[in-house]
Amino acid sequence: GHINHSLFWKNLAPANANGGVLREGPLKEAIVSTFGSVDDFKTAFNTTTAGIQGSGWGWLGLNPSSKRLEIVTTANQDPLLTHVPIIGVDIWEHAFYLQYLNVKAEYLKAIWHVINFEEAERRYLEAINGSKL
Amino acid sequence: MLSIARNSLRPTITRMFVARSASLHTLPELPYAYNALEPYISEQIMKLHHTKHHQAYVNGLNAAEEAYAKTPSTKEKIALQSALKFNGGGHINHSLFWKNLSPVNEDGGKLSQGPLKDALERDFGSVDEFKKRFNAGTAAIQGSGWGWLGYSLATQKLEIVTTPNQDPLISHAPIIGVDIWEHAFYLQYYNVKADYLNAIWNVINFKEAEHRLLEAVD
Repeated sequence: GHINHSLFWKNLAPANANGGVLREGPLKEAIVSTFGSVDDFKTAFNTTTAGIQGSGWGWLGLNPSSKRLEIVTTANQDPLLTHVPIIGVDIWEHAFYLQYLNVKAEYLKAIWHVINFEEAERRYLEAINGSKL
Repeated sequence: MLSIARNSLRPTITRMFVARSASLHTLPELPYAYNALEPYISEQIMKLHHTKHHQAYVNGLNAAEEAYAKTPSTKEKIALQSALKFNGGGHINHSLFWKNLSPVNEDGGKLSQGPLKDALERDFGSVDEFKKRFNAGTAAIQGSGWGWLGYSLATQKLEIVTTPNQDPLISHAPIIGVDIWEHAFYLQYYNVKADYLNAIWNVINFKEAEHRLLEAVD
């Protein structure tokens, strides 16, 4: 829980601090080459994350052996161990219920406006160059 | 022992004529008004919980069962099992839940002298001790899940058990179930699970619980 939330706060950013903005660069290229487009990535991420049966987290992770970006989930507060975490999204009900009630899909659409892609790219480059699990 | 769970999903005669050949599950009606459990469980929660969350499990179960019946592929059947378990469990659990709650003016929270009270005192020392242990065990679930008072056919005792996510209670006959998914309390109690668990005892339907115990012991 501590690991996941610590990563979460850092991979969010206000709209006026570039939250939601994904610039041209290595992360954007990797997303497009892996998922076809940024929108396709977001759709796939949201579908997978919404499909978690219970509490958990949706992740964009870097597979350390294949060096490919993959969408992964973890149950409850299990940290992401199999991949390097690039972006994490909390799908425990406490993360959205007061505002979005049962409508998970709206929360997942909205959160992309405040995802910190700069932090995500930092993590991506660190993972690609070094090896930090 | 599974009959309590099975019976909770048996459609009424009327619905059986309306249902398609594959059994069509439907959302059971709440035995009381949406605001009837106030102030312990808010009307807003009851409405969302019943018409959105439980309804989604019913829809998901029907879709999974239909797909399962249609596919000749073993692999596909196996792939559908988690949807059956999740949605089927969700439907079973919530169907039991609505019935083991009742408004204060229909004896919600009242535990009369009788076999259930005797069994609770025998197996936990006192009713208060039972509630304390139930709440501690349920609050300690790591993630989403359910707290149960269950009757063990093996030990012939009442035991406190938990199930994760929407797993139905299979090892014991369910006597009382309490939903500890955050949607069950968050709008009213926020993160203070303990307050929800203290409050809910005011609307637990001990008459239904005793009925289940007598059925299980037989």
